[in-house]
Amino acid sequence: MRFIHCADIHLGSKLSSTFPKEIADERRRELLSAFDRMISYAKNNDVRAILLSGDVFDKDKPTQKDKQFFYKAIMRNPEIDFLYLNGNHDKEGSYTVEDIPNLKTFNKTDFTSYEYDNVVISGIEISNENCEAFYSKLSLDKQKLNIVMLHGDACDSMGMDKVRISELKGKGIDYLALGHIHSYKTGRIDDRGIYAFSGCLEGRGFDECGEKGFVLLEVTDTVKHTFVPFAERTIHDLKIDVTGAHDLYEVSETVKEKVQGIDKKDLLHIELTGELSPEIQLDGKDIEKLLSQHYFVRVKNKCTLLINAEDYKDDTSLIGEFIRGTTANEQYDDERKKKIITLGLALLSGKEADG
Amino acid sequence: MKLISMHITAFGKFADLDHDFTDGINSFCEDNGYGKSTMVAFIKAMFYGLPAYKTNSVFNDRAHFYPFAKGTFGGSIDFESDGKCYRIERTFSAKSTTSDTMKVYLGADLTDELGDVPGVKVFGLNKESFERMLCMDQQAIRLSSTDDMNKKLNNYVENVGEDFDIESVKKTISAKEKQCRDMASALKKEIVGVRESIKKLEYEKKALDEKYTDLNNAQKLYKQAENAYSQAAQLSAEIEKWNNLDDKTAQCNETEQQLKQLVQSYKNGLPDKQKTEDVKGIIEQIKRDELALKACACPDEDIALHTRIKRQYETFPTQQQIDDAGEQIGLLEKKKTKCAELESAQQGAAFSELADHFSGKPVSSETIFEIEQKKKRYDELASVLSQTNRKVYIHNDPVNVEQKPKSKLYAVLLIIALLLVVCGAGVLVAGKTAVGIILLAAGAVLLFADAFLYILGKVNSVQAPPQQEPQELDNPEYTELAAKTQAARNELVNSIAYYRYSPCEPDEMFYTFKNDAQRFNELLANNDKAEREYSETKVSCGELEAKLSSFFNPFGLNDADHKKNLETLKSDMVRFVTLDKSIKDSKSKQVALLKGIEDAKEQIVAFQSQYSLDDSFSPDQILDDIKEYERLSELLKKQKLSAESYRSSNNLLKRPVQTAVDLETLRDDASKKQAEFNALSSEVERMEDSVSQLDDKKNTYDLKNEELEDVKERLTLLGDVKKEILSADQSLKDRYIAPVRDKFCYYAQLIENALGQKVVMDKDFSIKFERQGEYRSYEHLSGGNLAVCALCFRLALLDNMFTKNQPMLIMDDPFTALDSEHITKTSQLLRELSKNRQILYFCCHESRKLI
Repeated sequence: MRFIHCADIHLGSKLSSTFPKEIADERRRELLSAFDRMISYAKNNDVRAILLSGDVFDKDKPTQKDKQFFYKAIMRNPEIDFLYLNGNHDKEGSYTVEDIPNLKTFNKTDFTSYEYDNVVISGIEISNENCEAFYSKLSLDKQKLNIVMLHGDACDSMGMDKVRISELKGKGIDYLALGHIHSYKTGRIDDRGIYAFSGCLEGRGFDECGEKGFVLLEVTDTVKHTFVPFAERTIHDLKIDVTGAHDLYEVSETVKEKVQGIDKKDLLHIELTGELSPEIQLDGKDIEKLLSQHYFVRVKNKCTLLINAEDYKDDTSLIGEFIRGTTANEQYDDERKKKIITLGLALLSGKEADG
Repeated sequence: MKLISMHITAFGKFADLDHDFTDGINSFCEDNGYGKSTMVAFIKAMFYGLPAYKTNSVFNDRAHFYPFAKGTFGGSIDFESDGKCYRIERTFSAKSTTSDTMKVYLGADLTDELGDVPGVKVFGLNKESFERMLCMDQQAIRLSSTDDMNKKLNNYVENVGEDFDIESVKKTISAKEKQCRDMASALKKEIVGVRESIKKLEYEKKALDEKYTDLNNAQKLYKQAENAYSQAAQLSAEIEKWNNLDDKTAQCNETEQQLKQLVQSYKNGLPDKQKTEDVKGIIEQIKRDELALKACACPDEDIALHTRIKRQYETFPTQQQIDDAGEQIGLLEKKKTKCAELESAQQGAAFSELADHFSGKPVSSETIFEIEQKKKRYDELASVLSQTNRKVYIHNDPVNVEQKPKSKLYAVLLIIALLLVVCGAGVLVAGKTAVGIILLAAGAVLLFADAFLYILGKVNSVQAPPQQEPQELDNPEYTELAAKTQAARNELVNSIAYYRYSPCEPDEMFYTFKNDAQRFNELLANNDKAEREYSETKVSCGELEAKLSSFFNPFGLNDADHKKNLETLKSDMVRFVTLDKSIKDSKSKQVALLKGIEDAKEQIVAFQSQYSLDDSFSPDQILDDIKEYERLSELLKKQKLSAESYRSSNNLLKRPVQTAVDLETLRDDASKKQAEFNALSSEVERMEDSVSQLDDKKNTYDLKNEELEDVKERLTLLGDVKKEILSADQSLKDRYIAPVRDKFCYYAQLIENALGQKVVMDKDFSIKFERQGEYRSYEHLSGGNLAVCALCFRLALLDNMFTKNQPMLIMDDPFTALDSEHITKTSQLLRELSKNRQILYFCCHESRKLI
């Protein structure tokens, strides 16, 4: 028997703070499409039920359009059960008032269980009230294969959005299907069971980088789990040190080398670091233009100026005087000095005239 | 500081070039294209290197001076600085700086005390400053001589581009500050606007929360109304189903009643179907037997015939007797046939006709011979007559009369020639070439000869005098012969006509007569023989007739045709045997059928008594009733099954109590509630769309605030930058401008001495010159004087910037605007000035060569 464990789909997420409007719009569509594709995958692979471990919606009160999309998808696939546990984003109000036979829900009062042959899937929605007490309520038949659904970070303390893994030791859990952390991650509960975060289906911003997808559970006499990368696009966060580049050409070559092998349809966030000579007037937009074949690239120039005051000790020009004067001014911290020198040099060289 | 020597390994057009420099002026006066600028570039490259090649940039020095003949790109330069001798050796790659090499020697030892960029260490200037300060070209002089002197003085000191001055930097900063302030102001306005929008949207969001409650309530009401309608509709549907079930039960009852009535119509119950079918079969069998009984009775006429034959023959003759009679009849037939043949042979139409010609008497051979002789005579005469000419022609010219045989000769020769040609061709085709050719040749020769003779004859005939017409006369010999022939003919025809033959051609008459005579003689001989044979056969026939009559007559067979009698006898015998067998079979069949009919009737009686049926009962009627019974039973079964199925499929266990509800009202109510819900839902959707902008607005608000902070930060930064640049400017001025002015005044004195122009600089760096007792603006100076003036400024600056280690000054043909008189004076001035510095002077014309 097969199950899919996924979480943190965040339907209705705006994405507008991260991307330009047209990219945000397309990514929103891809987010909905990913959910649809996952259901198709489930149909094609004889998946009995999809375990949604929280944050299906981005908001407590999802819009009607998002709700309709989600519930219609469930109703169109009656052969698959959807076990939907509310998370911290959709903690209330996201269930439909309509009675959908294949939509199985949970509550905050006690564990709710659903049986599939020898497999029992149990879950409870964590709240401020039950976040410490729910551990004691969990009672499982150890003769059966037990899957438990929770939404919270795996940690050593108790609280809202937290799951203290040590409290679940010896409970007879075979697989703990967690939500809340947006990257795939696993760990051991005890000798018998493991916990896993499926991560989200699609990365929504540069804080959700790397492969995204869901976990496929194959249940025989044990529960075998496999992470299935499923995102339409992967988001990459790269820090590229360009120290030592003598000119813009070398900076470009360093960046090209680092992004080589990354799929053009992916999204890139590049932070340029290191120290560059004042003569190299590096602009992040130039690098974005250089990588324009990629779907989306954002470049942040965090490079600092490679200024050695000693070099200007004997410089009798205005620039030398300016750099010496600024460097010697104790009114500024180092960061400030570098900013003043960078801008001053640009102005003196006439490069900031139109900027 | 001074240059000692240089070695160009390969740089631009130069390769393996060595040059030693001297103190003071080093003058290079060469034609255009010599490579003066390349030398200057080489010196710069030795101290500062070459910029990296960029594909998208302008044609820079690395690309420009890459050796034409390839080879190692670079060289070395020796110089003295602060009393030490250095050597810089450099090589450059084609594009990137990464493969460039540089070695610096102090004396003979490698040293790194000049750092990565020796020029900075040696001159205290970066490359750009070096180019500005120590390299003077025409452009530098021209510019300095046309622009504001005061401004230019600052430019040199401040080491910025020609178009730059501190005032323009200040202006740029002020413009940017203004721009930032404008942006900040605009951003503040935008932020206020966005904040207002956020407030509105948050208010709308609260309203949306309330709407969600309304929407949920509306949905509940709608669901309740829909449930109420659905339940009522369900109840109504269930009652309808019960009614349907009642109908089905009523149909069952009706069918049961029909069945009952059908069974009651028989006293002892509905007879068994098989038995009824058996009885029906028996009745039909009786009918068939009775018909068979009638059918198997022997017809009366057969019995009568049987009786007649039996009486007529009493005993039939044996087969042997019959066979004998048959043989005798055959023999009699043959004899009769022969008699008929003989009878017909005696007489006949042909015989009668011939007998008519010859009067029934035979024609003697003498008569025939006599007529034959007459025929022969006639034939001979006719033959001679035919060979005799009827006419004769008498010609007056004997020559021409003799010419006729000649024409025949030509024809004969021609035929022979043609035959020879044909034969020759045939023999050739047959393969005998020699013979063929001889024959052909002979034929050809003969043909030509014949043609020659013929033409010769013709020529002669043409040359002859015209012919006279021949005279035609009757041939007397012919006339006489014709008369004899006619007499012989008449004699012959008359002899034959005696035997009644019509006169015609003598040949025809003769041969007809002769044949008929011979044939008639033969017929007369045959007739005698046949008559004798006929008489004998006739007697034999009479005897056989008598025998056969004695055989057939006792059986009443008296026909003259005994063959017919024999057939009748045989036929009667066969028919009698057949009839006799048929009569016996018929009797035995009748006995068997009568027995069967009796038995069947007994079974029918038993069936009647079992089911108390009167005699008028009909098995077909009973079977129809049974069939109807079966149909009704099947129908009842189906009806019961249908009713039960309907009950179970519709789960009709307990009849519901019907309540008075108005479905229409309930449906209207549900529709109304649904419409209310839909309207509310649309409104919520609209509000959601609107509220969905809240996040965007908040993001915009944050972004705009961040942007504002950035602008503020930039404004502060611009202020700091401005402060630092002005501070540096002031420091420079404090440090350099006053000494520069002093030095300029020193050089201005030299100018006055050399050029006769008194030039001064006031405390604000304004440059003026004296003319006619008044100080005038430098703008009134000539181009040449301005160039010299600019040189003085440059020297004043250098004197101040390089107090100890004066660098060399590179002058790349700067005095193009000077006339020869001024060049002479300027060269004297430069000699004076070069006493304590090295000057590299490049020009491309003798007129500007320093003396």
